[in-house]
Amino acid sequence: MVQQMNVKRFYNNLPFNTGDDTKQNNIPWPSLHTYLKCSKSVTELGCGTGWLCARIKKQYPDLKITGIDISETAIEQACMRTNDVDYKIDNLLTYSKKSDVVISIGVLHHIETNDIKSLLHKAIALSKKYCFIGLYHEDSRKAIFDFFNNYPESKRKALFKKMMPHMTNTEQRDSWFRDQFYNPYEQSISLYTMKQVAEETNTKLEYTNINNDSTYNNVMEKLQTYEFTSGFIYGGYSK
Amino acid sequence: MKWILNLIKKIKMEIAYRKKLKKAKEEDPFIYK
Repeated sequence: MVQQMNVKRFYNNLPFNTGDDTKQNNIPWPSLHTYLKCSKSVTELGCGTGWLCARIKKQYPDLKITGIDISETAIEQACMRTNDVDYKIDNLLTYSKKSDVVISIGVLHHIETNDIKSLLHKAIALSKKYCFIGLYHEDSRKAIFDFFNNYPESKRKALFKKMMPHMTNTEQRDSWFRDQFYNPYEQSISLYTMKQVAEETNTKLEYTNINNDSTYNNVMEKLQTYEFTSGFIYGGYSK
Repeated sequence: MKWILNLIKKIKMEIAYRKKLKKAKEEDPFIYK
């Protein structure tokens, strides 16, 4: 609980992905679209400033969309984005309302627990049809930290700016930088573990963005030409 | 000698970066890669 307060304070201080959304029509996961098209309700666990919920609502106006987040500041900013999404301050660990599709991107790995699988179980249990998860990947994160550790701490922010030429909003870029390197807590997961969770929850891991857990060299190659990657693994669990 | 190799490596990194800079500028700033 102490850690959760740290995370809450961290995001209240500066929510992740703050700022205006300039690419409102982009939801770049075809497998997610497949389920959004045939669903009535969507919940995003850890919606932050609400950019993804707002994008989904724009493309699927008939969907009932709920976004929950522990950070009051993030929810305040989310509510300013659109009135058509039900944004709520809530804790995903105690949240119990089910919906057809559950989404959680970049959130569960910041919840301190020795058993990240239990968090995946929880998210999957809240979905009736499909659960779409994005988490830090073990091997990819190792490459990222190895790369940045080659540079003195004082130069990392400027390096990050160089690697994010598409992010012109300074506050948004700062929110990314601290989220990537100064978060009070993060853990990561492997594709192997995500597959195990599918077996344990009797679901099908229908979509992943990587085929194997050896991602270190690929990620390092990108970083070495100043292309930033957060080191994510995405997984879509269908029921 | 080592400093020359490091310089060459840095120049190569910079060239590769410049090549993909235009495309990188158009990426979605809200999505995790």
